[in-house]
Amino acid sequence: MSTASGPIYEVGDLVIDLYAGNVSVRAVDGVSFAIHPGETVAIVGESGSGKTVMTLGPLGLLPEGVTVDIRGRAQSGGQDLLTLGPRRLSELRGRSFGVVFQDPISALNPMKRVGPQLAAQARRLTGATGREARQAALDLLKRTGIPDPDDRYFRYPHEMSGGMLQRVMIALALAGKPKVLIADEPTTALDATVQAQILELIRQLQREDGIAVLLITHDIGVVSRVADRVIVLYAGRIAEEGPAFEVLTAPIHPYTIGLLDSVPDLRKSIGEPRQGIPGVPPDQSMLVPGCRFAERCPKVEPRCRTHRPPLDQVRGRAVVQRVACPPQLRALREMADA
Amino acid sequence: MTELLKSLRTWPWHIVAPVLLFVAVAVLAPWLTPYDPAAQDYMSILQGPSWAHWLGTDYLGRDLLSRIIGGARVSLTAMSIVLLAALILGVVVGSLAGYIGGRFEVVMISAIDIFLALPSLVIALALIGIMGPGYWSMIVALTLAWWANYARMSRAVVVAELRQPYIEAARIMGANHLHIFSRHILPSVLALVVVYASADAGALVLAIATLSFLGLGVEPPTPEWGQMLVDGMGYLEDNPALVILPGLALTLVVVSFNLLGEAFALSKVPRPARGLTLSRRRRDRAKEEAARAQVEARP
Amino acid sequence: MPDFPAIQTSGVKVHFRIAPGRFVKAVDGVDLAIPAGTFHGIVGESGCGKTTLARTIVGLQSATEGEISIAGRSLSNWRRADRKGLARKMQFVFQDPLGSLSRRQTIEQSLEEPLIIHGVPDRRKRVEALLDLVGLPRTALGRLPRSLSGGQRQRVGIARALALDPSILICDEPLSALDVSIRAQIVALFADLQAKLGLTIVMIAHDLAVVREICSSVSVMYLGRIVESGATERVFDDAAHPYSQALLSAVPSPDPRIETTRERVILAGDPPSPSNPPAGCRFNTRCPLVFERCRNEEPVLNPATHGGLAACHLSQADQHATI
Repeated sequence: MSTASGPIYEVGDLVIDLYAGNVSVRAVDGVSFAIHPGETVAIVGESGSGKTVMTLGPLGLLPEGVTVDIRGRAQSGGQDLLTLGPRRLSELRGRSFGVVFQDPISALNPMKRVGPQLAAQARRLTGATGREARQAALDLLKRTGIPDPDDRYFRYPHEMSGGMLQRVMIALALAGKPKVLIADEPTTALDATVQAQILELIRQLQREDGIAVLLITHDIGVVSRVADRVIVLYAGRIAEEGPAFEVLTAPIHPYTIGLLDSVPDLRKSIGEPRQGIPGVPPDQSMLVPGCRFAERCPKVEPRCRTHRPPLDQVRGRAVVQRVACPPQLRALREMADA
Repeated sequence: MTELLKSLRTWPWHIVAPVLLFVAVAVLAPWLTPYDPAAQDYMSILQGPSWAHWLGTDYLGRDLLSRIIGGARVSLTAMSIVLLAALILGVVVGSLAGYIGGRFEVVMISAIDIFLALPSLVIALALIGIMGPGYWSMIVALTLAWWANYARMSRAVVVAELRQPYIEAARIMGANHLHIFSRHILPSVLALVVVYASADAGALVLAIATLSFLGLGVEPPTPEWGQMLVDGMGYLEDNPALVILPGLALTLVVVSFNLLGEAFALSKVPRPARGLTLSRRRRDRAKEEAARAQVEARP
Repeated sequence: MPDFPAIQTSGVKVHFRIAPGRFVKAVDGVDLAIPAGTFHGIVGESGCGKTTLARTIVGLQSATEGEISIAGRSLSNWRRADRKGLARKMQFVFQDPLGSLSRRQTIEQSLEEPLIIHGVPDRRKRVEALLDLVGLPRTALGRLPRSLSGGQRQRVGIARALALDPSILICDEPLSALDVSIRAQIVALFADLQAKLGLTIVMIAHDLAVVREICSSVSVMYLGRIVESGATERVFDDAAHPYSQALLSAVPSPDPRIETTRERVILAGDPPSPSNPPAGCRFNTRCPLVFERCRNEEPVLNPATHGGLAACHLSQADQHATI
């Protein structure tokens, strides 16, 4: 991984409100992050944490049926995505961002053979001629590890297994030679043994091309396997952010601690049954002051309920790790001083 | 039921109100009509609007306003009987077909499809041809022309519901068919079918008027809009209100019921917030945000 | 303790006809004996037949062939002679907590339902006891399933399953619809209930780490067959079947210190279709250790070194091999 050059995609003070039916939801509440070429950043959070909205919202990829209000900045290649019209955004999306969804079957046209779909995408995004696009599609199928690509080129989506379809999805995402690959729970719908294959494929593609990967997931095991850096989201805000190794082995934010504590490890022998994090995530339809985790937090202090905790750098560590929990950071400092 | 009451607050009242007005007028007709709708008065035939007869009179000197109000009552009564009968028949046949399944279902679906394939008025006309015209013939005919729709819908709901895990849960608990049917299946069917039926009412009012217009339904001197149209046609030049006003009443009722149906259908589809609602929500949000910022700005 | 197992299946097959002459062999010959009071996990990938097996055990699906007995009495006999008695003996927890509750019934009505069916008196008291048992507040009673969180809904599903005081609980992936932090709460609840009530629990799961955490014994299924079973700790530490080894290896560790250093087996390809399983050993198309005999002869469950059973030509206790 090389982080010497500037970020390839940078989001600042992002706020996303969703309005649908008779509910208003603050899905993302002031989030900033950056991703550099060649690195894999995992965005971790439970359902409703805003991980998908935060990542796909600025790209204009949100489900129909909701009104989306976005504020803040989302910069890539010197352009602010939030100021682009739908057409320019769609153009940029194909060329700079490749997106892999959780459910490949719904992202492919069931009436068309996969090869031609892939070739059409390549032609649209790279301006290749028909023959070139066809060759590009075949190369993509080969690169994504699809056995017998000449045959699979002419298959319909329903004739392929879930793992194969996810490979086709990845090929489709790579057709425009993107700089960032966004994968939204790419392995959740897949079986364990196939999941391992797909993760290996993503890593291998990244090593070859040096593209940045933004991986949205709730599976800590996946993070531990592929991520360089991890961003932990809770109720639309970043709780903790840092190198995957540090965050997973020495978490600081009480939510991260609780989350990691909830995840059993197949390779460690059984201790006491885990209790999880007591309580449930907060209602995001209302804006209330203070830390969103305060209600469930074992370390809660009065100030947590009235003031938003800033995302501060952890001092005394060799790496950049940021945590939105002043009490924990204070405790760490006191420990270091003592 | 509590669910329904809760949703009352979010109902589109501008759409529900005209329908409620029609129902209220029909129910209160005996107290609202200034005259007996059938009372003839040869001293005032084919009069225009006056203080005595606000909307004028017809060729027998009957008060037009009273007849239109009375017509609403007749339409509502006939429509309610037909809807209720068609609902009971349709829900019973459709739910049983869906629940029992197998060959019974196949036979029932075929019967339903045959009824659906024929235009309902054709069925009604054929039946009236057999039974002879009259109020009750019309009711029976329209019921038989209408039930298949509800049967088809009920069956679809039952088939979908039966796949739900909660039905399987009841089965594992040892529930018998009667329990599952009455406690789970029937409420789901009714919840949907009754809503659709209420939206169908407009078409039914029109069908009643059509049959009466053709002289196959409500018989004189009972006031009925379709029949009033026929009666008024001969006097179009003397008093066009005799045709225009019943026609207008009919149109308004049908349109209000159809709008209600549309609203029901649309309410099933999630829609993004728009227009005024959206700007109100945005304003609320901005206020909340300001309030939050104020609290968080304190030292 | 009675001398017959709580659940016993012998040669159970469940085939679904998809076209004339073509069958999906979802479950294709399963022998299981689960002693009373155990917490047994059944793991495998989608399409391996684990959910169909669970549904067949509770009678939601009828077996094409084979025999199932519950507490020493055949399931068909139970269902013919004492359907309600069976319901009091064995209950089911669904994967989808929302779908398994009627959307128009309040929590109280849902919890009351089994009590009404079985004519249990003093229902309110029992319902309140159930709420306490699964850790739900009284205020939940008047609410609809939609207004509860996923974890709370699953607690209601579990409470309802326990309403008739059954001794056997079959759970079909009860955790897979839940978030990680909530999942841990429900896992703890299962462990607690099993200890408190002495239940026999069969849990279908795809999360192997959870199985290791709470199940005392485990069976691994592949393409409609059980390929390995035994005490959880021993099977997971010392899997004898190459498929179990690969399945275990495929699960990443949340701890990067382990994840970055451990050896991994990554299988090629996807599981074959259950409508047309390969001849011989069903795993032979993906097995890294395949040899001639695997393509011709289907291995049967034999004692393995870990004290359980494994269906692999290589795993007979004397010639145990690992990949």
